[in-house]
Amino acid sequence: MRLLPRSLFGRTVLVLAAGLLLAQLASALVNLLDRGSAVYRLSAQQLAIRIAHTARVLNRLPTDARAELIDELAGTDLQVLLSARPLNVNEGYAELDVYEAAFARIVRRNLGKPLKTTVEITRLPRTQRERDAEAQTGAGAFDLWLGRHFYFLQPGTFSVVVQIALEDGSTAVFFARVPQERLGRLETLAPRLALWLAIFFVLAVLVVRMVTRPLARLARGAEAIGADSEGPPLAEEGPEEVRSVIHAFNVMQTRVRAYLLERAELLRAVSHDLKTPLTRMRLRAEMLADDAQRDKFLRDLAEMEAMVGSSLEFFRSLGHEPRREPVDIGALAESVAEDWRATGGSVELRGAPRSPYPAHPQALRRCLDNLVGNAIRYGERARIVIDDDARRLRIRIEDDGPGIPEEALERVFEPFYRLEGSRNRASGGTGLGLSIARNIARWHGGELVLQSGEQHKGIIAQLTLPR
Amino acid sequence: MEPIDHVLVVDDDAELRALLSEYLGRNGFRVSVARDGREMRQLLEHSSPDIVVLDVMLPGEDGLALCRDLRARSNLPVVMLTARGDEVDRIVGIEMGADDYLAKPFNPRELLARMKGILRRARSLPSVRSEGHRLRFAGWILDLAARHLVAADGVVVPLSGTEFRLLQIFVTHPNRVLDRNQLMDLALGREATPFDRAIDVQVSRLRQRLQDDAREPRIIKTVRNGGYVLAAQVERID
Repeated sequence: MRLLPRSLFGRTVLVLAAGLLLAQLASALVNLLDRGSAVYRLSAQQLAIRIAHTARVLNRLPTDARAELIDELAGTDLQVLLSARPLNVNEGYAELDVYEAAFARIVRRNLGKPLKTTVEITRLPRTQRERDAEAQTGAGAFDLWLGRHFYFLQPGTFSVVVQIALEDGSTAVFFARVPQERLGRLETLAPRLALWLAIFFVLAVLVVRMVTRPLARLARGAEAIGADSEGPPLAEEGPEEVRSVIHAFNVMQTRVRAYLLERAELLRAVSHDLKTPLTRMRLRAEMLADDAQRDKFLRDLAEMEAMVGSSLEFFRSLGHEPRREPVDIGALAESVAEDWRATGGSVELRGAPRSPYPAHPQALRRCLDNLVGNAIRYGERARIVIDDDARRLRIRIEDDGPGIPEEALERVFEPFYRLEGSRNRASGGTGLGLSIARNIARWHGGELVLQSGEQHKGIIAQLTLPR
Repeated sequence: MEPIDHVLVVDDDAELRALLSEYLGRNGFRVSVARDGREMRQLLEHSSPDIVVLDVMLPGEDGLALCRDLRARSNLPVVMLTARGDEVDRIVGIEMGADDYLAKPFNPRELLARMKGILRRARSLPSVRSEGHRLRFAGWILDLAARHLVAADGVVVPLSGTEFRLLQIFVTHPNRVLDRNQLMDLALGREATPFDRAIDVQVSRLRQRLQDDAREPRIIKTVRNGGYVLAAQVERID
């Protein structure tokens, strides 16, 4: 299981929340320890003085008058009784001896006379049920440990039993209940914690936004490079660290672009320099006496020329933002169809555009021409379907051929990618037609995809251009 | 029997020059060769070829400058050859007044066909030539380099190959009646057979492109028993 959330945002919130919780717990603990003992000391002192004073009065009163005073004093937190003998209270914790001694000291100081005083502090089990449970289990080890070391944190009350031997030989026994600081404070802490968390959440959102927005832009930029290496460099914004990443990225982009240009230039130069020798070979072949040989030569040459030609076309199609003019798309489709019909192709045309589309006329014609050519070459006939609305212009070129496997629909856009079987060199393609067509579509801010036709019959080339 | 046409080939590649010379010679031309502008001018002083095949890339004065120079002095048809197949070259070539333009590696038969076409046209239909690659007529512009029409509102109207060739013939011979046989020969490259409606089909397509009403055409008019005529002023713009 993943403990860390995936996103930077999730992680930031988690760390902030965990930190907040720990800090709050620690401060609550310190607060409780401190406050608990302070309150305890104060109330203990007051209680001790009160007990001492009462004992003083009792000591002075005649025996029969004492009962009246005891009745008067009887309350919830302090009860007094007179006993002939000292009671045996032996439930105190050894750890509390210091407190007992301190308590006893205060009592003695306030008695005015040296009367024998013993103090026992005992913890009273809170409810009958708990008492039963403790009796059964012999009080849990943890409970006992907690009671011994953190007695003041426990929600129950303590009882202080003070026995003072009066001068007439009887013993005054005081039972005092010391109300404990309630641990329930933690509960009142909960809404406060929730508020803090909400504030931290908002802060985390802001901080993370600040960091992630330029990162997201960087990611988009990196993706865009794949589609168009000519894109402008990314703006170097955001925090220092992110800015340096974007800077490094821009440097890399520049280098990649230079590399691509260099490679394209090299290939372009090679293709270009092949033209003159190809022209000479053409002439030599034309003048061969042997007709059969000549035809073979000419076929090979035609193939080489087609490759050189479409390579150059391909590098040109990688070029820059085209100069756009409004183009009558209907006339464009018709002229492409007409040219293919003139060489024996079967082309059907459906639909009409709503209005002229701003494009580079020659490039868009080349794109359409390549697609219709493919449809006729591999799919027997072509159907050009124009579907135009306010948002985009869509031109579909459908054929009735055998189609291509689903997994190859994207691969055929790779330069020089060839399918086994019908799509080979003998059928006249150079392996660049679709790459060129897609480059041109992207120049225009559009996209070109291939789909299988209905019931996997034929191919649909879908050219989408944004309006 | 037609007279033997004399072609002047200007190219700096010696082998290509020799091959072209041999090929064109075999195909019924009398061939002279020159390796640069200087040699070309020397040759032109004491012979008068019917057509020039001119390479764009030449040492010294380049083919485009030579073409412009030739154009300024005569109506000698020029076919330009270039290794750069791009549009800019074609525009410049046509601007400089070349009659046709072929990109290397070209098909020699194509060169032959174009040369014959140009010579035939030059003899049967002398057209007025001047610089500029765009022709304005009846509110339309025909771009000879880009091979498309531009409407008055700037919308580009692409043309099929046949449509372009036909319109090119009309706009380079305005206000002149062109019969079906001439059009057939120049635009479709074949002889018309009796009752052949191919040209009429193409003309009606062209009218549609030009938004010319077929029943009452104003741009390309039908001449009874004659053929067709482009009824418009044609103006060269650059």
